[in-house]
Amino acid sequence: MRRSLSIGLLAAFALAGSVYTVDAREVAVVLFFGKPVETVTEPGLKMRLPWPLHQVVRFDKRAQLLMVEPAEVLTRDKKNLVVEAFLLWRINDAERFLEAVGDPDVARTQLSDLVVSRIAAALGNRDFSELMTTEDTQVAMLPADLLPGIAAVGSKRLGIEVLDVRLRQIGLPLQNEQSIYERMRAERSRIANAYRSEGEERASAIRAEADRKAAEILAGADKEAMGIRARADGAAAKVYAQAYSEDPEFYLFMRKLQTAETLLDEGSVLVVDSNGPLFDALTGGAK
Amino acid sequence: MNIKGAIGATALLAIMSSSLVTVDSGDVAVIYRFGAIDRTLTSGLGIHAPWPIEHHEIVDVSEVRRADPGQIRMLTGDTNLVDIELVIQYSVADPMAYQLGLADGEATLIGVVLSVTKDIIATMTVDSLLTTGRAQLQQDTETAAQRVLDQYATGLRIDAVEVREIRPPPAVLDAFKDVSSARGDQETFALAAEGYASKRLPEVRGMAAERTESAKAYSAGRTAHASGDVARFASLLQAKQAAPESTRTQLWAEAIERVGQTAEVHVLRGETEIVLNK
Repeated sequence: MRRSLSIGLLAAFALAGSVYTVDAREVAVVLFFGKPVETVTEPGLKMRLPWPLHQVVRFDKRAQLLMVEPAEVLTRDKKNLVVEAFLLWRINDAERFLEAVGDPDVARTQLSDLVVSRIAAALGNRDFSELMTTEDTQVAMLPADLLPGIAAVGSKRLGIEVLDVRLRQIGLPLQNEQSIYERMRAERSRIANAYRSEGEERASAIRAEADRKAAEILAGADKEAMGIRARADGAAAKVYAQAYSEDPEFYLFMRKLQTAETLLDEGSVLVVDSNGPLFDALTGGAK
Repeated sequence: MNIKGAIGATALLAIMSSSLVTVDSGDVAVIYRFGAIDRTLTSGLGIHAPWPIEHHEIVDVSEVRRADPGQIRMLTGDTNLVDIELVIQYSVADPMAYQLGLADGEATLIGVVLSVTKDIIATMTVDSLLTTGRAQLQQDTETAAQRVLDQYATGLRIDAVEVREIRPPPAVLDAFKDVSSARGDQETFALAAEGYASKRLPEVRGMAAERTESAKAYSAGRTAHASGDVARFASLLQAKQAAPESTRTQLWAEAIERVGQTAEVHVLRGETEIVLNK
């Protein structure tokens, strides 16, 4: 009785140790005394030999992000760039992955190094002006064969599938930023100057137009005023001529008197000859 | 016996409670059986086999999530630098793909969005980015980033990529501000000139009116003067016709008298000059 109970317990333990589950997000590798014998990719309830015969190692089989540390690369035209790449990868061949690296952290380091050297090589074949341009000629920053190249190495060496390689950021080393800033400042000051001188140009055009219009208005007014005066003078001359024609001799006499009176105003000196008729008038005819 | 019963009841209760699942609206419960995805439950009360046979994980498919990459410095197509701040709004479109697709969903999303943003900015000019190109940038980034995400089967949907801020780096900000103030100056100069013009022209029109008016005044004066002169002449002519000699003498004498009142009169006798008045 007691013996059958202990056998039953032993059997239950053995059974419990022989059953395991694999999550939908995992891949499991079954090891026989440390040597991989089976890869389980289908999730669910699985059987195995009890420990220590079989061991199960699990890995995340979802796509994983690998952020590569920023690295300085040189373009073909010798411009320094700081690139920050990222990689999306997942375990494809768990046994190879286990044999080759075993540890995801080691895989990350190896992948990072691979990606940096491949990207450096790719950008070394590009001119900076090809990467940054507002023309339609912009080429993809990373060449189309970069991903297949990295993927082939990853698959063969690490048992992983590389889904994508991208540049998260592309920038300039700090000391090169300074020269960009210099250029940006120069460009802005050129634009600002252009705005200001355009403004001045427009302003002087407006002033000149106003001055021209003013001159035109004044000239027009002067012309009109001269016309008015001329017509008045003409009309007056006609009136005087009319009077003249009535008695020219008397008219001239009157006119002379008037002229003499006008000329001999205050401060004038009238010199009278003692033999003339004017002296006669002054003396009242008493000689 | 009693203790055994209590233990049994507690165990049963624990099993029962691990079998019940309440799914809020907007959530989806993914049911795993021995680790494999078996089915999903949408809103309401559901039941599944107890642990360790089945378990569930809740995924919120209605929440709009926000990912914030922080401020990034990027190079424009005309080799200027801009500082850009993005906010990515996204949600889970496919809960199963979301569970199985990516180990680092949000970080991958940020990486993809930054990567396509950088590519698009590398084709744009700084002036367009700081003005009208911003909406285009948002739209192009959304489209391109979603296309990349769909290649990976992430179960994620980008609802919006919002460019919260885009500006020149602090080191050159003053230079950019000076451009806007120069644009203001341009306006100011023109406005000042227009002010001058709108003051000058009425002034000149006033002067012009003054000149023609004074000509008209001259004209009126001239006419009046002439007709006065002629009227006087006519009446003197009448007098003269009546008494020719006396009228002439009278007129001459009057004129001399008037002259004598204003002018200095000197008399010349031989070599001697005598001053009569003043």
